[in-house]
Amino acid sequence: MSEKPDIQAALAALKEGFAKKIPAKIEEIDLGWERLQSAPEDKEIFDNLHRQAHTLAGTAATYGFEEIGQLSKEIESMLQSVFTADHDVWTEKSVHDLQRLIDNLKEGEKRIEKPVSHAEPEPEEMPSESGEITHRLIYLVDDDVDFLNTMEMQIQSFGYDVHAFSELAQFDRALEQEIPEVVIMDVMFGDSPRAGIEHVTHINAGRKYPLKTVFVTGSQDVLTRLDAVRANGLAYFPKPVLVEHLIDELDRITHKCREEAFRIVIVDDSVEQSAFAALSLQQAGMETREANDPLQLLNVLAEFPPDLILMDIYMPGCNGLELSRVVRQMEAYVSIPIVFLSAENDLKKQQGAMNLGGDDFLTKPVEPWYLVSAVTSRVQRGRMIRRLAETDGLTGLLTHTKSKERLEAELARAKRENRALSFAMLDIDHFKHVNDSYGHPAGDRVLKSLANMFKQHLRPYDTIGRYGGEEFVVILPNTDVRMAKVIMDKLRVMFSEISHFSDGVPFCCKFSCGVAAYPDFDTGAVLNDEADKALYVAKKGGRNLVVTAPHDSQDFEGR
Amino acid sequence: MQALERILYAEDEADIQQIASLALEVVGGFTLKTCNSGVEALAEIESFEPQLLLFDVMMPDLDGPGALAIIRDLDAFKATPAIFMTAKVQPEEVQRYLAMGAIDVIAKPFDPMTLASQIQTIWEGTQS
Repeated sequence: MSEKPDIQAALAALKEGFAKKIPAKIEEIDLGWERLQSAPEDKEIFDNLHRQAHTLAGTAATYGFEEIGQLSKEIESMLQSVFTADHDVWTEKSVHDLQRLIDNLKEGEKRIEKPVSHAEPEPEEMPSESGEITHRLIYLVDDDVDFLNTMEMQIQSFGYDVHAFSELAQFDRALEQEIPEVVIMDVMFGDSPRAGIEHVTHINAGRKYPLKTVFVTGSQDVLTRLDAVRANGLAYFPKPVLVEHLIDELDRITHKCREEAFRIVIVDDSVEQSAFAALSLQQAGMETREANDPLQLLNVLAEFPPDLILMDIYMPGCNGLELSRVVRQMEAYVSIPIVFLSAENDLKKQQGAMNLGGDDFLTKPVEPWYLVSAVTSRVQRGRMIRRLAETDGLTGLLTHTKSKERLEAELARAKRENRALSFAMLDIDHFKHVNDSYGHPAGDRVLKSLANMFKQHLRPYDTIGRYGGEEFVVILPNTDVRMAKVIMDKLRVMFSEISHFSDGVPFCCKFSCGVAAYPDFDTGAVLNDEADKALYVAKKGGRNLVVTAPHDSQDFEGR
Repeated sequence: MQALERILYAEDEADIQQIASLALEVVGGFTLKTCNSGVEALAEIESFEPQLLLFDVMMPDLDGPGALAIIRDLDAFKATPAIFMTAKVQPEEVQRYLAMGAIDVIAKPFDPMTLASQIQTIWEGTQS
């Protein structure tokens, strides 16, 4: 780590050099725009301008000039949308908007002495700020060595990377190397009743962002709890610590960093309007789909189940109010928030929109920041409600019904995009024996550790569901049966190597798995049946196996 | 597990090249061969024998996906893991790049302090 100052110095020098070049780059863009206005049909001028904006978008933000990067990106997207629109290429509005962006860019140039930078010398903050956390690192600090050892093993069985320290000095040295996602800190060290809290307070005083800390303690004293809160403690667990409670808290803290992007469907007959809304939302990190033909909405919804629908009111063929009624009549979409977007500001009409199943009404033109914040708060609330209804309380995985719905949606998408899709069904071997021998709480921990391990090792767009009891399903988009077997086999081996604990006694569990894939089988029901049959074969074949359903399912009959 | 050392890096934009070289050579400690285009990358690949390819998507002459398609026809580099760098990281775009045989996509702008560890992690994913 000793080379860090040099790196920072080198970065600063590079940045300074780049800053000097920015004015020339912006001038080039401005000039290109002038040329394009006098020759709007000239593809070469257009391409040049597009490339310059694209390049500046990528480079400026990498060097920490985020405002310049952002504006360039908007310019690039605006050019892109003009280029892809197949009718009436340059409208007065698009010319006006682009001019405004370029003016902003020239304004932004004046502020480049103060880059908002992730390249500023605060390297230890990177893991939490960039969201690029690759493993779930936990530092566990306690002078009670027995507690340390059992906790370390137990937390590890839920898929966390745990480093245990019995002395504060060791912990300090580790912090210099790497900042963990969460610190679990004992309150009392030796004779000092609050040494842990004081130590964390001291460390946080020197940091821009406090360590995410969970305190554990043998004391129930209110003043100690208060001190823990003041030291930015996120949670406080009295000993003996129930590991499942601790894991819930760790999951909650670490989950925040990897929440799936919000999914928004925009219904607007105007390509330009929907592109503008899409762009605003995408820049806030959301995923969007646009339905410019209102009659296509149901197809879009089937393939891209959204968190929220943003709908224009006046559209040809079918207006937004009617369309929202159609959506609301379908059970699967009853709970998706619908927000109407229209130039309409007649209050009575707004009321009508609400009665017909819309949840909110935004009047155009909507400022991008307002759109983003209006959508964000509704999606967050909607997700929380849905999470309660659609996920299994113990594991946080999708319920049986929801998993099946997701399979249909993913299958539709796989067909449209002409890609493979695999569906795996798995069942923990001899699970009844676990419950009988070690008790139901231990069984629940096993289910939860499987869920955690899967969440950690599968891709964010894979779906994991709990079908019921000890039965789980996994949907792997864009994965053929051969690859799915490799993945599930890897998970099978990893799971079998986890030590679970019941009253300090370790035990292991295994699972059997059946896999069926599209295009070998082409409906959700058949995939489900075939995976189930393959799972049955795996159980018959001695368990702790992954079996794939053959193209020709007759192969099973003979066994 | 084999340690990652040699990365063949293609990028046409000098400013990005500079900061990525710093991120990968100084911060990450990798040995980097930097090329200005896909064509140059093709010229260098056999003598440099990279363990990993890191290609910008948009380059003049021959872009990243184009270069990768040609490289996949060379027996020695059929399976060399490839990563694309791009400013377009909409999920459909990413899917498209993955379908072209990249193992991952890194978004621009990137964070120069964590780029190396990001690549290291992707590499480790290919080694298990």
